Amino acid sequence: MPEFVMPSLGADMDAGTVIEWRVGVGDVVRKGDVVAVVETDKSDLEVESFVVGTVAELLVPIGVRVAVGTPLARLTSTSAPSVPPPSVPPPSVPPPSVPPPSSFGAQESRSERRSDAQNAGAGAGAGAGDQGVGAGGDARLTSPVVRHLADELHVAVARLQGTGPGGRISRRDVEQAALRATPTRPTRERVTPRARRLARAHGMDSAALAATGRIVTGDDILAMVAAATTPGTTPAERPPVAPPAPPRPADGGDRMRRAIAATMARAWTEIPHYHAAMRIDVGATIAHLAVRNEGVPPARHVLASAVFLRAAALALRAVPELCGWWRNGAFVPGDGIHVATVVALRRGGLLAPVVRDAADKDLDAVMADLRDLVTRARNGRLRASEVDGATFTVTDLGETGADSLSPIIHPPQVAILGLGAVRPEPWATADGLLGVRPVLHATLAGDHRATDGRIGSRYLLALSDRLQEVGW
Amino acid sequence: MTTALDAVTAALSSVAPDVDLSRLDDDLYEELGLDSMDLLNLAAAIAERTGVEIPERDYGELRTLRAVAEYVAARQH
Repeated sequence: MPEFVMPSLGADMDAGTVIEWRVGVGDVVRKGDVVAVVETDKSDLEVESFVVGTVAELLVPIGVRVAVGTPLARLTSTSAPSVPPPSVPPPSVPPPSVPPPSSFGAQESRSERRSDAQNAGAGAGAGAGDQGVGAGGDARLTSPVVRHLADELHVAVARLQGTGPGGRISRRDVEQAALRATPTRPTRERVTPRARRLARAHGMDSAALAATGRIVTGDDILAMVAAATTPGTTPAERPPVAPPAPPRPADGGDRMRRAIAATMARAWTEIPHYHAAMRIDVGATIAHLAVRNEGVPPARHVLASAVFLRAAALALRAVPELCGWWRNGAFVPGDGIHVATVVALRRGGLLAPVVRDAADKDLDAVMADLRDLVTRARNGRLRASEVDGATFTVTDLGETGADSLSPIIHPPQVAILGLGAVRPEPWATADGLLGVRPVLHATLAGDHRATDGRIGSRYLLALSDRLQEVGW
Repeated sequence: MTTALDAVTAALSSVAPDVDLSRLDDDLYEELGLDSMDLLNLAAAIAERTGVEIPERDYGELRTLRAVAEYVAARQH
């Protein structure tokens, strides 16, 4: 019986909130279909299904924050239901409270990543039984998933009477206890980050909106703004829809800050970093781009950052030791060259959407991906699959940034490339003269457990070579 | 000028809805937090709305919303 579970959308995610179902009972779900929109500490993400089936039951109500690994929806198999698949567990195994390997969120990369997350009890990953021992409640009568849910909902498991077999406490028991105990939930879980953002931008009080007792989405805010806009008035003259919001002590920005803090603190304490740096003459790149973009409409322009990202991906072909993950004390090669690009959000914080198979794409395709991902990271929604599975990261400060940066690796990856602003600098030419060239400072951070500085150095040389080749 | 300014602010609103459009004289990069990708999207949105295409080499002098609007107004027919 396939299940759709709360996916882990990054090493730093312990829990998420379904803020929108895109399917209902009876709908047929195919692989890649968007099933729900999930709010994480960092952003709202559209999550897709990796399984095929018909939705039999939605298990988690909208707006309830649940642990990674919690079943969100039950599906019935649509293909040959009478023939069990060969991998079906033997009958002695209790009904799965964790997903079978084929179901959403239980992919190897996700479950393994969960296993080294700090709150290991939260999702427990695929294969963890119901007998896990954790803090709080009677571990014999609950699963880790249920205990985590109880924590989230502030329900004391020890005081609950289970209705399951042998007095086991089920998810439903916890949810019903939570409903009995807390008629009102914290308002910040009733307003999505996008809604908060838009509400702020339009001078509305998103907290007041939340008092309506349902989840307020960005679309709600936009609808209210549209409704409040009378023809002929400029934005400044528009009457405010609600009193201005007071400063909020714990909104989405703070939660993102906490998520970044946890990941980076872990990266900095666990990963022994080395940094290798190189100045690269990018005169050929800049000149080529200027010609390429001249007389072309802006919609088809290519930015230097796209060239750099593609060159970074191609250089990984020459130095595959930096492309992959550190897992369980060993390097695991990546399943492709999937390059995350760090996007700084204006409201604060970072997202790192992934250009998949970046080395196989031509420059226009990389630019199109980059533009789409960066724009949606800032303004709209990314899909869960678009922030997952990176095998390498590039962080590019852009034209107005500092000269260089020494970045921190995003676990479980083993390397990250930091690029500063391109600026004219003195440059010793091959014939022993001094010239002025546009120079890029590239800094490679490597996980010293996986590779040594020599590998990082080789990578930078390969990157420099790629950037000298005009006509990519 | 007013129509060019309206078009430019509408274009910016479409590519960066979280930017305060009343800050006409603030630096697009340093104060409003736009980057080269935003600028590219803004240029595309302006071209769509006004027909004025801003060549890349002119990006450097366009540091504020007002400067962009004046640039567009001077080239609109």
